[in-house]
Amino acid sequence: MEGHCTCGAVRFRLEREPMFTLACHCTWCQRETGAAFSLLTLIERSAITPLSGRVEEVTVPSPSGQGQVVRRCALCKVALWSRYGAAGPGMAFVRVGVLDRPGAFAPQVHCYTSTKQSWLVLDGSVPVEPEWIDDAKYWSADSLARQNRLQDLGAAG
Amino acid sequence: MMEGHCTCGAVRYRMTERPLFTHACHCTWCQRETGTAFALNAMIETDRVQLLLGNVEEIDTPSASGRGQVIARCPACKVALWSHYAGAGRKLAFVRVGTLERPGDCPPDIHIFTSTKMPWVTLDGRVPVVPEYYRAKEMWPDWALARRAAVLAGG
Repeated sequence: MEGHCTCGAVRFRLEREPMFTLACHCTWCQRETGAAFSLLTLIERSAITPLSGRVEEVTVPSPSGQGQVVRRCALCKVALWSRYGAAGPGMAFVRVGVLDRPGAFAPQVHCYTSTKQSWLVLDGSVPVEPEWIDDAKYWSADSLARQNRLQDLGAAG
Repeated sequence: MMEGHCTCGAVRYRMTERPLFTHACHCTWCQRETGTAFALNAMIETDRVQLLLGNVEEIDTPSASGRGQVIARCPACKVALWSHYAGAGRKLAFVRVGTLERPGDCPPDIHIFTSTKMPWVTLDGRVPVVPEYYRAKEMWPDWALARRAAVLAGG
């Protein structure tokens, strides 16, 4: 699966299936997307291959207080993926909308629905959590193992 | 009056009047720009968007029409605040609803380009849904059409 920014300068490829996909309705994600929620698919940073273009990293505040680093196209400034301090440096949160077939990544959970836009309908086909999610409850065993390996790598420095 | 700001807080703005009409746009270009399932844009006369703090940087960006758009972003955190599209030019701003302090004040008046809607997104039919674009004359309230006509007629 490949993705690219709006001007097309930056292209990248996901080398394997992501671990987990979520729709986040927190007010921070609403502001960053300018829309009603973010749609993020989580994958190892090492599994993202840059194909072209120059990205710039922009460090911004995040609700955890540990900050977020957003990777944007250096030309059109469209955001491609982020890493969050709270999730560790090895985990990339890819913006699903920049992928070539975004419809292939439906959310497995909606989180922070305590601040969901009231007009927005969720059909109940996937779980809804008012705040953050317990990964152990929703992630597959395989994805949890991949997450653990990333955390071990992070702890090893 | 509705106020909004970027993620880092360097740019703050106010809409001095209610917006004309709000789009949820499900086109693939909006999906890419927002990174999510659809954009949420409140249209308003640009002269009714007042900067309260900081300044925006304007990034020329390609658009689906081929005629381009200008996206106003915070120069520090790069978060997008509003756009000007070629159609109405700089007289109208498409404000990113998620950057408002009370985004719930601007629910969508219409869902557009639902031909490329993500399959899992549910729409309940409370507002019109169109597969592509539409004519403002058929959908906008009279007061909004009057304001739009006034701003487009102006110098």
